[in-house]
Amino acid sequence: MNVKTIIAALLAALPLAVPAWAEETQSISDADLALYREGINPAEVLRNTGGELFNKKMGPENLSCADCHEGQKPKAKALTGAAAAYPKHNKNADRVMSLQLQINNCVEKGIKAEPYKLNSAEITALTLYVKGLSNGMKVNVATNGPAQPWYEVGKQVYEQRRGQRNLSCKTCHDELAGHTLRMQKLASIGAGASHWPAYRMVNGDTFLIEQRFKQCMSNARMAPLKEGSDPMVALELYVTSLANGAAIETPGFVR
Amino acid sequence: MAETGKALIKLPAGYKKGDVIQAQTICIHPQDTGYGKDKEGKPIPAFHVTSVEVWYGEKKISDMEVHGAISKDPYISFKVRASHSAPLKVVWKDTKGNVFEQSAEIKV
Amino acid sequence: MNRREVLIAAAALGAVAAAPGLLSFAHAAEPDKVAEAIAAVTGGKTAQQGRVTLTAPAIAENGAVVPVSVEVASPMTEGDYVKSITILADKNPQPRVISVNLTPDNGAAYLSVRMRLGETSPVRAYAVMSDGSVYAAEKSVKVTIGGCG
Ligand code: HEC
Ligand code: HEC
Repeated sequence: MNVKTIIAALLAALPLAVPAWAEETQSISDADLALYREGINPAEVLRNTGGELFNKKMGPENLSCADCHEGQKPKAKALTGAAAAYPKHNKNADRVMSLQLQINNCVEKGIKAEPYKLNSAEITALTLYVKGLSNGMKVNVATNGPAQPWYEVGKQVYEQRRGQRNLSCKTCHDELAGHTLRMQKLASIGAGASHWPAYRMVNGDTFLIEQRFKQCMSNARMAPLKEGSDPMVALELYVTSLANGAAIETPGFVR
Repeated sequence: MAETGKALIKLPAGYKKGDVIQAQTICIHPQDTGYGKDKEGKPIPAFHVTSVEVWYGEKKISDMEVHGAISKDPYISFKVRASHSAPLKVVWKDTKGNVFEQSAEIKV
Repeated sequence: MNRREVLIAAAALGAVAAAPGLLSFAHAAEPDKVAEAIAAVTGGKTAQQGRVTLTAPAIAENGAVVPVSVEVASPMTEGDYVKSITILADKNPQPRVISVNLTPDNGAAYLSVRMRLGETSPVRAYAVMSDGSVYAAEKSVKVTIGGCG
């Protein structure tokens, strides 16, 4: 018996609704998947909103992101290509920051306004916009130097079995990769990080990669980590490093 | 955030006068069918796009009757013959009487 | 991986798949509702086969977003064009999905949308020509539970 048949047999025995399982071992074909990707990705509309936010004057000094990062005499460097290196170690904060944390850092210290919630549409919109400025460029996150301990922690979080079902990210994404469960192709994450933030058809909404991690965690019955928490950022660094060298293509359009 | 009614029109690059081109449109909208229920089991009232008009310059070239079975954030694509330079305007109307508009320039 | 681990992994996915469906359509349309919708489009005329190409996935991974496009062969001239294209889904509570009225200025009779399917269902496309004749195409789209992951 190969693993696939074992899975099928075991699933059939589970007290779950498994209608016509035998028929469903077939995942969606590549041709069908291509049909889904034709047309406009709704996340592009959110990215446009991010562009508007980038230019919106806010806070006590009536400053926009663009005031510092663009224009004749920018106070900080242009952000073209910047996102490719994120998550990245920040010297002043003495920690690795996701792009979301870095943007919020600028909201707080640059604009002097309230930082956005890390699961808000605003931070997703801004992240999409800033990441879009690196589209076509290659993911290039550092895993050495001051980032190294974060990378190690991220790898550990990825491999550690947790929760009611004693699963790790690695169980599904590496050990079981290649198998199809209930229309779900279990796949290695590979360079997947290069297309996040992404629009998920299943939810009809756009998510940051840390939100995708959380969805996997709750599906696998692991206690979800908080967006922006140290282990979460470490995990984002690890998973993004797997995409090093791959071209950034955002927003993604995934199932 | 991505507010209801925010819309986008995409036209291909590099067409010339007389070419038939594909226009792609999307309008952010919940598209509640009226058949769904919320977390407490209460029915969610219908709230969806009911019609779409396509104007090419001063001329209405298409109109559509849209039902709740069009997915959330309606994506609709159609073709148009790029016969002259004029804005391609798309107008969405919904069950609450909202009207949303977006235009893209056809240049030949 | 041993049997137990595979079971656990499978169960993790299964539990999610068994969660509430994407679409809580109360019930599918009555058969005569479909007949009514068809009659409203065709005006009672018998639809002919051909000219209409309907593209849809064989398996819709997600019933909430099913890409469907329709193309109708036509010169799209003042004298001979496609007046309308209508998409219907038999098993939806309201079978009518979208109708588009076209003019020769469209240059080509084409419509592409993302639509919902409450369950596995035939999807139909009807095209009414400027001379009043009606053409149709049909494709069955299988909707699976999907929705997990
Ligand atoms: C008051 C000026 C100021 C404002 C306003 C500001 N920033 Fe910054 N930003 C900086 C400075 C200074 C740095 C760090 C130094 C540098 O990299 O040039 C920085 C760094 C960044 C970086 C990291 C660049 C890199 O290469 O690592 C990003 C991304 C960023 N800002 C995004 C934003 C966004 C988005 C906004 C609006 C929400 C914003 N900034 C508003 C001054 C500003
Ligand atoms: C129970 C199995 C399972 C576990 C455990 C699991 N995932 Fe997933 N994951 C999936 C499935 C299924 C998908 C969807 C694959 C698809 O879209 O085809 C997915 C998708 C993803 C994606 C998106 C990939 C892309 O290319 O867009 C990322 C990133 C991801 N998972 C990360 C994680 C991380 C990090 C963990 C650990 C915290 C984890 N997953 C744990 C099953 C799992």
